Amino acid sequence: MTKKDRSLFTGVIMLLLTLGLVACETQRDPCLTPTTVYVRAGAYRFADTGTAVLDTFLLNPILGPADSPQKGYSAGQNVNKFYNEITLNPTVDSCSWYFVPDSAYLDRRDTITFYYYRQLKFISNACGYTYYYSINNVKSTRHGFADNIHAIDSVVLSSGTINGNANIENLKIYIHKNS
Amino acid sequence: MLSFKKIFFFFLLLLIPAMDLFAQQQPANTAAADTTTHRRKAPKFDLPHQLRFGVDVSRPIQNLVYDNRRSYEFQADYYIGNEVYAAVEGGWGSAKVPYDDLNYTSTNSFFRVGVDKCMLQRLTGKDWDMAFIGARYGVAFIQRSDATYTTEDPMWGMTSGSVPGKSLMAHWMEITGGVRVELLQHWFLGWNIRGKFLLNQGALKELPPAYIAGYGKGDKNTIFDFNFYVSYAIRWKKKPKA
Repeated sequence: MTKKDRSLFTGVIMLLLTLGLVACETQRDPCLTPTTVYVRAGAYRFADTGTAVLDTFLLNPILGPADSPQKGYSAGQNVNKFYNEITLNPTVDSCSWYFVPDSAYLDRRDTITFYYYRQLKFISNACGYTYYYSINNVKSTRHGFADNIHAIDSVVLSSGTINGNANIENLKIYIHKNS
Repeated sequence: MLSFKKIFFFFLLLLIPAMDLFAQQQPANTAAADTTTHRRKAPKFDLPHQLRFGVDVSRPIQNLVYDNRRSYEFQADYYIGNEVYAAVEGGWGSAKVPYDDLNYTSTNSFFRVGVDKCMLQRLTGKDWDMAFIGARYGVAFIQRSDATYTTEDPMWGMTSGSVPGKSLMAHWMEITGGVRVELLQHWFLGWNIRGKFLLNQGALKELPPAYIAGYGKGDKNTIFDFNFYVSYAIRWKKKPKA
């Protein structure tokens, strides 16, 4: 085999390998980044004595947009973390979610209202765009039940940045002691 | 999925035998006569000027494979002496992202300038085969159309909007290597492999083009790429020194 034959052979191998790589490449990369970001909330309860705070497991909580009561999530049984349920409305600057700690007591239904800035965020050509949020205020309201029967005692915003960070909890929901 | 580094080093490994076989070729008379171990000086030849033009024939193949992008690449190099070539490359291309959640097009032209250093010892004055390493600086001028997007939320439904079109510039550095073999008189076949490193990632952050001709995927900071060139060389004799 002459020098030129070998060079040509090497070149052909290169061409075939590169064509192989091209053929294996997909037209659009798969989207590996979550495109929905959630307000990650945890449920807590004050201890009966003192000010110690305990995680609390809720029997059968329900969450849903306050203006769409027909929609909602049953978050499961005996849960205290709501990390993949609460999303913010990308068309307005505030939205409310209702919260029922136990589906057996639907009258104990309180509302959490989020006030936030929206930021359109490009993720990638594979995933397109999504919205990230910066929450500047959170309020919990009550829906006219007996004074001593509330679902929520209070809410505390621990991190207002909603960007899909899976390592932080954004909101602490303190469950009312009578709930 | 293969990483950039793995692919790059794989092709570097492929280069080694190609360079080795060139290195083994020695003129018969000198190889037989020289049995000493000291380093021999490269023979000097009275070389003509050479200007070589090439077209990347792999791009039309890629254009057939990919529906959503087009690119065309050309190159020229000029022998400036001491086994160094000045190289200029250019071309143009386009890309489209035609999906429901993201839809836009982009077009761009580009050029690259740099040098190649031949790593082979020239055997005769007519030997223009080369295995080389080189470096490039590349720049692309990009026009991106208005982009329409749709986001979908499981609870709140779909939201649509648009991002205005923009003129962008991307620039990058490359390291490259490859071979050129003169298969027929004046006609060369050869390939380049390239590692590309984007220098201004920030400028493309807002909505990087899905494909930039001359560079590659706009949302990647490092790119592995290749070219397969068919080239034609023009040679003319140097004027004798007065």
